[in-house]
Amino acid sequence: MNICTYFLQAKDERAAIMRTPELGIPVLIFDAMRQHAKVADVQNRACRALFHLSYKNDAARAILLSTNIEYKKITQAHPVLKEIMVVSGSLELVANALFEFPNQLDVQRSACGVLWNLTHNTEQPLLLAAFERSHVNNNNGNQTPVQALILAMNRNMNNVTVLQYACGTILQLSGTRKK
Amino acid sequence: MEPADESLAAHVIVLQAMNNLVTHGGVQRQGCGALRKLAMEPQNRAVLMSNKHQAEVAVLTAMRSHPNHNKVQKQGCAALGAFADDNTENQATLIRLKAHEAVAAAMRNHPTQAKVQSRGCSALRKLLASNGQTPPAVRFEFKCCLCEGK
Repeated sequence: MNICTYFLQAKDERAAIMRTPELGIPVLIFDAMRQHAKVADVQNRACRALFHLSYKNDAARAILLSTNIEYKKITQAHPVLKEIMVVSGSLELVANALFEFPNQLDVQRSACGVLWNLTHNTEQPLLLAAFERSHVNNNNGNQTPVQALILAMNRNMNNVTVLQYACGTILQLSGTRKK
Repeated sequence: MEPADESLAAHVIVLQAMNNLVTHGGVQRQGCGALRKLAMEPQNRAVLMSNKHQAEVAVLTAMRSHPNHNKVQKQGCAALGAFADDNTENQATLIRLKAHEAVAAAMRNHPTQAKVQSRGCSALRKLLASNGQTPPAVRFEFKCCLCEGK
């Protein structure tokens, strides 16, 4: 799937910049993560950027003040950015950050947040396909983003935020919810 | 506008040095670094980016004049991020001046420089993400089935 196909008419200036294929801002962040896979600072800042940017800007502000119903309406209307990230291999990159930096709480927290944001309200077939084809090759063999999440939860049993984001992701992946 | 604190008196001198020595990479790098430090105080950000001082123009000029100087690019990205941090007006001004393009160019031109990449990621987040708010990733409303209906 081509990233350019996701270019949509913009309603928010900052979101429009993110979606502009010529600038390729999400791709720049992914490239930074690929090129500097062993640098904790790059992984941390990139994950934080993805965590924040995977959220529609105007939606994020509204959501803080809104009810659950409004929240669903807003995120369902703007799933494009998350889909861009899912199809661009961000799952492997974020999972790799989780495996590489088990003791960096910032990385663990931001990476779990990205995964949750990516999974939330993203079209289920696209999401499951992306998770199924994502694998990280490391010393322990071929590992999946779900294994990365479970390890993150195991290592951070005392951190509410990590657990909240990871549980949210697993909930999204585990099937349909009653509406 | 009056400086918010005494340390900000330095910004006039720094900006003057940067404006006078645009072609000197070392001055531009240190100048961007100094402005970044000053902008770490929230009340200083508006002063630095006021019409009178326009620190953002100095930083963007430095970045555009020294595209191959990785340290100018790193400090420039960090300074732009600091100006935009938690300040909606500054974010809007910087986007109007295409600061995000300067950051993207820095990242594109210096792919092997980890510090440029990390500062670039932070700057993009501060410029383009919702202002100062952590995304509300999980907002569930739990209802206790035992209490429901009481």
